[in-house]
Amino acid sequence: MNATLSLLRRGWSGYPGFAHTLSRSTFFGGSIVVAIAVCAVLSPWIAPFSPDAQQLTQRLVPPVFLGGSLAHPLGTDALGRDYLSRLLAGAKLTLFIGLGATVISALIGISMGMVAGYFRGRVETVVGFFINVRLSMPIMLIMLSLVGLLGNSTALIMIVLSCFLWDRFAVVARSITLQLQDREFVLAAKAAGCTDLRILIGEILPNLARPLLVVATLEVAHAILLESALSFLGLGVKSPSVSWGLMIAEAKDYVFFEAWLLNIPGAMIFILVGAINLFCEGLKAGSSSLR
Amino acid sequence: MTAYLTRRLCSALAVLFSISLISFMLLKLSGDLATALAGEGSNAAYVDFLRKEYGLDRPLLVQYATWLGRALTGDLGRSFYFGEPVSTLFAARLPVTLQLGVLSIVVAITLALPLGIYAALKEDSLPDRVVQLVALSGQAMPVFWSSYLLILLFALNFKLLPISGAGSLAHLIMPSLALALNAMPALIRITRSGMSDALASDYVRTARAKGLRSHTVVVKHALRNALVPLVAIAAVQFGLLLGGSVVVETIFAIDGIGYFTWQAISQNDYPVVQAAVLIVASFYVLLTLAADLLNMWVDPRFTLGLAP
Repeated sequence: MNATLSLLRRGWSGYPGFAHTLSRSTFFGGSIVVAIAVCAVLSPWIAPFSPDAQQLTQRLVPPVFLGGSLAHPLGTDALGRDYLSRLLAGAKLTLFIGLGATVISALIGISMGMVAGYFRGRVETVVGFFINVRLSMPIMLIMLSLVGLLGNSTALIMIVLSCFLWDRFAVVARSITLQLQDREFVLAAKAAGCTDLRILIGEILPNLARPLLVVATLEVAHAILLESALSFLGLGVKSPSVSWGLMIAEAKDYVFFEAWLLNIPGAMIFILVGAINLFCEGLKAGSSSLR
Repeated sequence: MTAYLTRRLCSALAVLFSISLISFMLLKLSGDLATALAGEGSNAAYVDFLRKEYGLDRPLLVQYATWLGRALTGDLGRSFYFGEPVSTLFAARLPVTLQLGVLSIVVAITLALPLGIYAALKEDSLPDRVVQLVALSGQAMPVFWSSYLLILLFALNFKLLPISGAGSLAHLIMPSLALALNAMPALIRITRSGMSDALASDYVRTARAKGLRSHTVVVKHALRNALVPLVAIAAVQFGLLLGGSVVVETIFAIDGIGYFTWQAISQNDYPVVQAAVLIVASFYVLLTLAADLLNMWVDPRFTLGLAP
């Protein structure tokens, strides 16, 4: 019994800590993401104006670096709404949708992948088939038509996004579960009479955390890009909500006259997604199983 | 090998079948078609007439079977909006999107291949980091922003290229650049990792030991092996480009299948949407199948039954 317990414990100690693999790119990318996230969360308190407050006398004021004033550091849009405040409010919704969609798709993908890797046989074939079908679907077209059909509330956009982002979770969860199957701590748990559910959640899942974190960061970036594309095409976030994609959609009519209207949210999406990817690169370098 | 081939073909067919089911359900999800077709405030008799006319009163399974049977013979129904056969409408628009896709993937490969090879040759040096940064930026770039940046730069500032439309090759340069930027990172990564694996392999070491010129070793021995995964990824990326060209086609006003589908969605023209999903998915399935077969043909391990 004691030997079994110590074997059970070994399963946990094999799990690498985070501190020693925190590379420079992880740190750099991570701090940008954290900075944007903090601004997003604090946006109701730090934004100079309400994101919806219109001042029709103050329309299309240029940002400071293009000769504007400090009253509106990033200028105002065509309805006289403060651009900085809208950018902050947009950050909140953009991140919220990105994270929410990733959490839902992680739940779908991880459970499918783990079950496939653990039970193998027919279950694995079926899951593999689902992954194939998902990969063959044109994401953009189906997402557009689903949102067009079912309406575009924030919750619905999140759910539709997560229907298309679970595949990588499933692939990674499956392959690692397969590798872990024959390890001593899983065999020990089986010998000790643990149920399949207990083994999946208690023994295998903790070992998946690190590689799945890498997948999750990638998918947050992916979700943000997809949401912004949806909003850009007018089938995503709708006014009065604000997301960066929507800001670009609203700015595209002015692109030839006031290009900064489009470039500011465009650059923000680029910076955020780039920082998330950079963070992910650093994580990947530290975890050998994903190389 | 035959076993693998059969399995691969069966799974491709099964995937296509599921996609057809999904795209059929898309139409059904849109609610009562007869009412939608008749328009608001039309009388019940007319709605009933339309329901019979379009066969919407029959059981779902029968409707699906009829639709699938017709789709297999190339009859994808009629557009609600244009009143013309969907297949004719798509046949008119598919060439532009294919042109755009081919041009983008060619641009992406011509940019990615040298960058990936160079990065692999200089592994872990400054040039390698720069190439990885390029790949990272390409990945983070939203297509719509890169499209507008290209417009601002080449059309507005230098007045070199036309802003929209699809009449000539010049019209397709900016859209395909924007799309290529998106497809490039995956291609750079696969070239780099394939090359660095090949360069570290025994046969390259042997070739070097024989005293072959470094140029010959890189091109003849390493590159040929690194190209195999690149072809597979390029096929996948090409499939993704076809479905993902919606945004670019909208910005540059190119009347291809992406723009057409986007319009159809806003007009509730569901036979068109359905057909678009089916066509793009079929392309993707066929492309990945072709890539697999190519891999099989190139990699002798398949014929020997050593690979999965």
